[in-house]
Amino acid sequence: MRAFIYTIILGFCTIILSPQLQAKEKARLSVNYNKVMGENGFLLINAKYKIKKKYQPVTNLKLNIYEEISEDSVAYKGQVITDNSGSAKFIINTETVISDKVLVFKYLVRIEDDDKFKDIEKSESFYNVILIAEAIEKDSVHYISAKLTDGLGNPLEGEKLQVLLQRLFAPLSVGKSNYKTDSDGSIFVAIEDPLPGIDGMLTFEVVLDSRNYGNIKKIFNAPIGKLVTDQSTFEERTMWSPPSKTPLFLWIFPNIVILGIWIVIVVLISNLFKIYKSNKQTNKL
Amino acid sequence: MTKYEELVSELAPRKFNKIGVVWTIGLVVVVIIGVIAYIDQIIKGQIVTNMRDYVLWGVYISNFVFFVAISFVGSLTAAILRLTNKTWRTPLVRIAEIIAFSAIIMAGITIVLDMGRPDRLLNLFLYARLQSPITWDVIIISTYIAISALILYFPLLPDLAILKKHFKSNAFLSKWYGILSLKWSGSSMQWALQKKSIKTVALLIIPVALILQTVDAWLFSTTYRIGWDSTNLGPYFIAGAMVVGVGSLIAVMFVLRKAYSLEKYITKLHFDKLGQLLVFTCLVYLYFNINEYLLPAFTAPKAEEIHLQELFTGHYAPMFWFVTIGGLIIPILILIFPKGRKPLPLFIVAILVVVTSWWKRYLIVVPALLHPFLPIQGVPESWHHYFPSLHEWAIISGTLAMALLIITILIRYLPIIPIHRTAKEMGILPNGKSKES
Repeated sequence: MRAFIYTIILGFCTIILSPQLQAKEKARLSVNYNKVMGENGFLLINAKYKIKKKYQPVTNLKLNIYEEISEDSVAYKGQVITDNSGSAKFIINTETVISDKVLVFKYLVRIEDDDKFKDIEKSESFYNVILIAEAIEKDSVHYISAKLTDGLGNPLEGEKLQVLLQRLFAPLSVGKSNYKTDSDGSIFVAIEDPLPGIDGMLTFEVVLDSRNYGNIKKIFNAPIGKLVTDQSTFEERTMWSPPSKTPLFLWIFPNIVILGIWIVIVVLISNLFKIYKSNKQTNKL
Repeated sequence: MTKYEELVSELAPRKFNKIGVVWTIGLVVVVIIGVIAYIDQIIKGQIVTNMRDYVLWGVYISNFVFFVAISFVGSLTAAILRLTNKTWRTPLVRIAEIIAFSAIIMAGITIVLDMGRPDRLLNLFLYARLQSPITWDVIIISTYIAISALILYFPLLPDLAILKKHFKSNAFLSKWYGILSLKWSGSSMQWALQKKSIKTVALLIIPVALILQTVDAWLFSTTYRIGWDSTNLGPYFIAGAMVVGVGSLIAVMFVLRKAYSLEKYITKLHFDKLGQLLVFTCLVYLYFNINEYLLPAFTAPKAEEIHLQELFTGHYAPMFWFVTIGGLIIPILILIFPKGRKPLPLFIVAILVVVTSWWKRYLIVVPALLHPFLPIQGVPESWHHYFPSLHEWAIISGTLAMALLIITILIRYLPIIPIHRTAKEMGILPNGKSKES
């Protein structure tokens, strides 16, 4: 009985006196599965915590990644560290690991034994899907055709796909904001207006953003754009060009000024020599 | 002892007294601390500073702008007073030239301190883009160092020859003064060459100083940033440089007058004249400040409005009003009255002007950087604030101490007041008439 009371007191004191235990913050994790077809998929992880009623990114935080094999067993997959924005990326070799599976995949992201943050776990589940897309021409009209299937090639009906055109700052929606796949898992989107592209080349993205499948993208090029010529001034002599393309007036006028000033400086220094020499001449005389 | 000999012994450089020795040791200690901090910065990288992706020009660049501004005193006082042939200038010009020389050297060094990889300094020249104001700055600073050295050196030649004779009991000093005087004998040819050279260098330094200040301003105004994107910035920097230049000259002049008992040579008239010059420069700078802040306050787009709010009523308001009221309004109110231009009150005002001028440069550099043109979402909290780290303070203190140390060493070995010219003006030259005229 006495030992039990001592244990309770010791435990209580540990909790009260241990500043580390008291000071630990609670971090919030968000985990999203992303994949660009033809490349490895990855988990995009973000960690933040609340301070002074505002969320701040958790930087330099070590996160352990596990894959759930069965309900009671997990396999350690690796570790990532968050960057200045509180984000980290864990690459999953989807091509070799899950290409033939239809089952759900479950990954666990854990904060474990961190000095500042409490242990916490966040899971992300996703199914393997295949998204193919291409540009086709029918009756002189260009279409974007896309097909969504599961890992075994069974079409997925009723999923929303976005068709986007890559642009410098943000992608541009083509047609409606999204299109639902039909019973064949397909969509056809007509490109009605001519879309300008350098040398006529356009880069499209077909995107599936789903809770079940993650963020899946198919990116492809199609030479179906309206031809535009490159208006870059890179090869011209401008204030923003590389050193070899300095505007001529900048070569001429500042250099004349600087050269003029340095010629005067050299003359002045030569005057110092003349002063020195003139004494010798005076002495000789 | 003749009057001339008396004058030479009064104006010749003297050994430091106890206060002078303590002052010099103090400066050396601060410089050493700065050097240690800088070595640590080189080893660990600029992570030891509080500069991050937003404020990437911190206190180092503020300090650089401050040094460049101070160096303007060389052209302003030395060249303009020489060219206008004002006789009261004699005791002031050399002090101004010494300050300008030390300030521009430290400006050059401060740029290197701000570099993350100083070992790549040569790349600035090898891969220079002539379109970049940074390239212009590197060129014009090295040019200004050369001209500042020449405008200091030419008028020294006759004095160095005098000192060679004066210190004949000290063989070492006498030898060095002899070498540095370029065997000056005072022949009419030497005088002619010296006079022509001084006139040329005085003419040359004025446009070069104006280019220097303008290029310094263009470093900022060509970046399109809120707070810097102004066509007013060139003259605004020149006006600011005039204020801090005259302020620093008055402060150094007062200290030297006290330390070397030069009341006979640096008189109340000199303080009064410089006080008038300071109040004039303060008024000009106030005019440019009104231009710089009042017009944008009426017409500013949202981003500029936020920047101005930060200065007027926000986080930087105490510093902004301290700098504006303490560095401009109070000096003007004190100096418009003749009593305010007496040595002690003028000295206090000059110190206030120099201190506020340093903070003014901080206000020009830092708040503008805290509001980037394209804000990045979700950046770390630390990027939103800036205050120099201990390393930055140590390095900056080291540069300021180094500037004062250069002035101190030059004052230790060079005559503060031109001996030959003073003797000539007093009509006590030993050979009667100098061959100068």
